[in-house]
Amino acid sequence: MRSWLGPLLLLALLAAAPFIGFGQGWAMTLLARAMILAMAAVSLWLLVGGAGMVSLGHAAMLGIGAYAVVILDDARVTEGLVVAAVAIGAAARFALLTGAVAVRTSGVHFIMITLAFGQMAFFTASSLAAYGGDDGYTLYARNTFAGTGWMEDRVAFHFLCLGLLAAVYIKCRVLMASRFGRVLRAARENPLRAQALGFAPYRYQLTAYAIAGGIGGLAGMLLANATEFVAPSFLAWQRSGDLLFMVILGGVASPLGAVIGALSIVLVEEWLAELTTHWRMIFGPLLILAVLFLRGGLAGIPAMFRRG
Amino acid sequence: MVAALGVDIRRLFMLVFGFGAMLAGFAGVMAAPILSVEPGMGDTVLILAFVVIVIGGIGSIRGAFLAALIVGLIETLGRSLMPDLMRLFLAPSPARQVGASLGSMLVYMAMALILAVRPRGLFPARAG
Repeated sequence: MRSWLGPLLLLALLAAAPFIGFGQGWAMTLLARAMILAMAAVSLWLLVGGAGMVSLGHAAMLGIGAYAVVILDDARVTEGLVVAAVAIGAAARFALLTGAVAVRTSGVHFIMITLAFGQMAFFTASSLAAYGGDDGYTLYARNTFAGTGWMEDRVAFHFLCLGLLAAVYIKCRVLMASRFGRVLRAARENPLRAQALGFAPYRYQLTAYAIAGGIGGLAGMLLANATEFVAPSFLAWQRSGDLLFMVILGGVASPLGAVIGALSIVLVEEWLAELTTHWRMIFGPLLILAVLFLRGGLAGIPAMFRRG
Repeated sequence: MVAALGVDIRRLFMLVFGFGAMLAGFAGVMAAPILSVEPGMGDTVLILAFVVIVIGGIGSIRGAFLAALIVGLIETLGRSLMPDLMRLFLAPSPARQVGASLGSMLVYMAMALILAVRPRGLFPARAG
């Protein structure tokens, strides 16, 4: 029961945010962005924390979801449910195809091969001249939802993102608690022993990779709708690095860490940028100190105090 | 185990890290006169350097040297020849776009292929 206390508190805080002084336009936009990136970070956590596969190509999943919105928008398909299904399907399929090669490797090689596929997706996106190429593509409007335009409403979009973030978080925890998750964990700790027990880790890891890809696609679809603009920079490897950093800063022990990491990076970045134009001079050292002294990540702080 | 032999590992790692940084700084001195100097000039080199190390085989200096030459050639030739090559099959305007993106992608395709076929790199470091 106790492990649900933190997530519930965070959920309540995010749900209350529009009504306790964060209801202005820019604050809502920022919160939506933070929650969407948190969703992507949770899906990356499934790989990094759950399966022990450090991927540096996760931005590609986000980008494929975003470009699904663009391509369908160009074809005059704006029904959100259809777009979301296509985005998830396309990203999961991409993950399945590239994962079939990548999952065979591990460690540094896995990082590099996911980076390679991410870069391929990036250069493909920047060559799509019909969808703006390097300059990106501005959406005419957000996707409709079951024929109505309620995603245009800021508060409604806020709760849509929050609801999906909660759903993704619960799905990841349920997945890791299931037999499937136990096999993943066993393969992470000792692949040889998992094989000796009669499991083929490859199939489980590939499935996890595809699931994470699908969730990444959903986050990309939401991100495109939040910004109403999509550019190849969505797929740049720097963004994959950002996502990885969110997961590690928050703490790889639980998916809650990914959520906390994503929220705190997006919000602190914004807050510092408002204080000074040289915010990176403060932000960089802060991150280094956090990595040096917070071994369990931000999510591990309460446990540090409990131990005293 | 090495620490038990009386080697100060922290100091050794610090020195190696510093020496690597010194070499990178030297590369910067060489690059500044021929490339444009800007804060982000390291970004593209950073990723390509990783690619070189992985293709050559981690821990192998000979591999890094040869892979650097291979990657440099693939990158340069790919970018300059791909658009012309594509014109054999496509109309000029799409050929330019497809060629340009294929040229940039070539290095990563090569890396994915090499990792899939020879996971330890082209010139793996000899053990022991």
